Amino acid sequence: MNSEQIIRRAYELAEKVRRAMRGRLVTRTIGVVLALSCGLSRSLAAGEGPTKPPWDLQMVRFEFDNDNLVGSDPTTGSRLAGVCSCTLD
Amino acid sequence: MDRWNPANEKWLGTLPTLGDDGEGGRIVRWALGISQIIITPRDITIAEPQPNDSPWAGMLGLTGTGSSYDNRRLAAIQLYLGCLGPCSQAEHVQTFVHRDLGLADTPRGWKNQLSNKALVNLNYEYRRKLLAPEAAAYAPGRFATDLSLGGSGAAGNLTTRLTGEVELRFGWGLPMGFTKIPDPPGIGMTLDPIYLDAREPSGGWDRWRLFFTVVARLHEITYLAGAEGGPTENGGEFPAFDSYPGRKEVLFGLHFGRLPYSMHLTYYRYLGSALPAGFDSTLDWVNFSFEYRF
Repeated sequence: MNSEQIIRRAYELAEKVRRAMRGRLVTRTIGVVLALSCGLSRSLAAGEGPTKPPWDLQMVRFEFDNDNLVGSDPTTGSRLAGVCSCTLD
Repeated sequence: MDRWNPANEKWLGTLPTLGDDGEGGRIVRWALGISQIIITPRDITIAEPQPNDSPWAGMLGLTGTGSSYDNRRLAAIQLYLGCLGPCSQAEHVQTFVHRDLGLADTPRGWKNQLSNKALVNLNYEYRRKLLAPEAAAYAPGRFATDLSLGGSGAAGNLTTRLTGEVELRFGWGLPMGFTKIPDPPGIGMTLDPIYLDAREPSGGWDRWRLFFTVVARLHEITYLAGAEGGPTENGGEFPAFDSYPGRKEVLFGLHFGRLPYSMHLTYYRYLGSALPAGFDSTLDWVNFSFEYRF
C-alpha cells in the first residue's frame, strides 16, 4: 500500500466517522490528524528525509487553531497560517 | 545562517540585539508568514447584527521576521502588513468550509462584518535563558529542562501591547533554543526558535524528541483590531469592547517529532477576567502546528 492509498483510506475512515457524528468538530480534526499521521508514518518508514545538515535546513509550518475544540464561547474564531523559515545566505 | 548577508547586515545587523556576532556567533534566520483570522459571534446562524457578542471580522496578513539567536538569547523584529474586512476573504473561506463542504452550520451574518481597513504592525521580541543545562543534556534520549524570561512589544493598528513572559521547557531530547509560541502573526512573532549549533552538533536529529512547554504571560494591551468596533458592511457601527480580552494566559505545549517532521499542540488557557464585562465564559483555544524541514 503506498502513501496515497494510506491517506485516501484515512480520509475515508474520517468521512465515515464524520457522517456518524455529524457536527462534531473534534471528530473531524482527529480525522485530519490521522490522515497526516499516516502520511508521516509512511514517509518515516521509507527512510525519506533531508540530505542537508540540520542547521542548513529551511522549514515550512502550517498552523490551524480553533476555540470550538475546547468548547470556548461566547466568541468563536479560527486561524490558518503558513510559515516559511529561511536562511538569509 | 551564521551571519546576515551583506544587504541585511547594513540594517538588521545594526539594530541592538539583532547582530550576528560574526562567524561562530548567533545564527540569523528570516521567516515569512501568511495568516488569516476569522472571528464570529457564537451563533453564526443569526443574520441580524449581534452587538453584544463578538463582531463578524476577518483579517488577512503577511509577515516578515528577522531573528538572531543561540541557546542563551533570542531577538526578533517583525513587520506585519494586512487588512481587516471583506478583503480578508474570511467570509468566502468560512462559507466554503461550513456550507460547501458541509462541515458545519452555514454562516449567515457576514453582511454585518467590519469594513475594510489596512493593518500595519511592528513587533519586537527578546528572550533570555535564566537556567540551562550543558549542551550534552539536549541530546536525544536525555531529559533536560530550561527556563527563560522574555518580553515583547507591538505597535500598530493590528495590536499595540507590551508582554512579559516566563517560559519553562522540559522533556526528552529537548532541542536547544526556545518555545514555539503559535500566536497569530502580527499579534505575536512568526519565527523558528529551534537552535542548531553547527559548531557542536548534538547529532541524533533522526531520533524522536518529545518535550513539553509551559509559558505564563501578562499582556498590557492598548489596541486590538476586532475589539475596537467600527463601521460594518451593512452600514451600521459595531461597538468597541469595554476592555481588552486575554491579559493573563498560560500556554501548555506538547511537542514531538524527528527530522524532517515535527508537530506541536498548544493549549491557550486564559486566566482571570479574560473577557470584557458581561461575558461569563473563557477565550481558551488550541493550536495545531505541523512543520517540515527541507
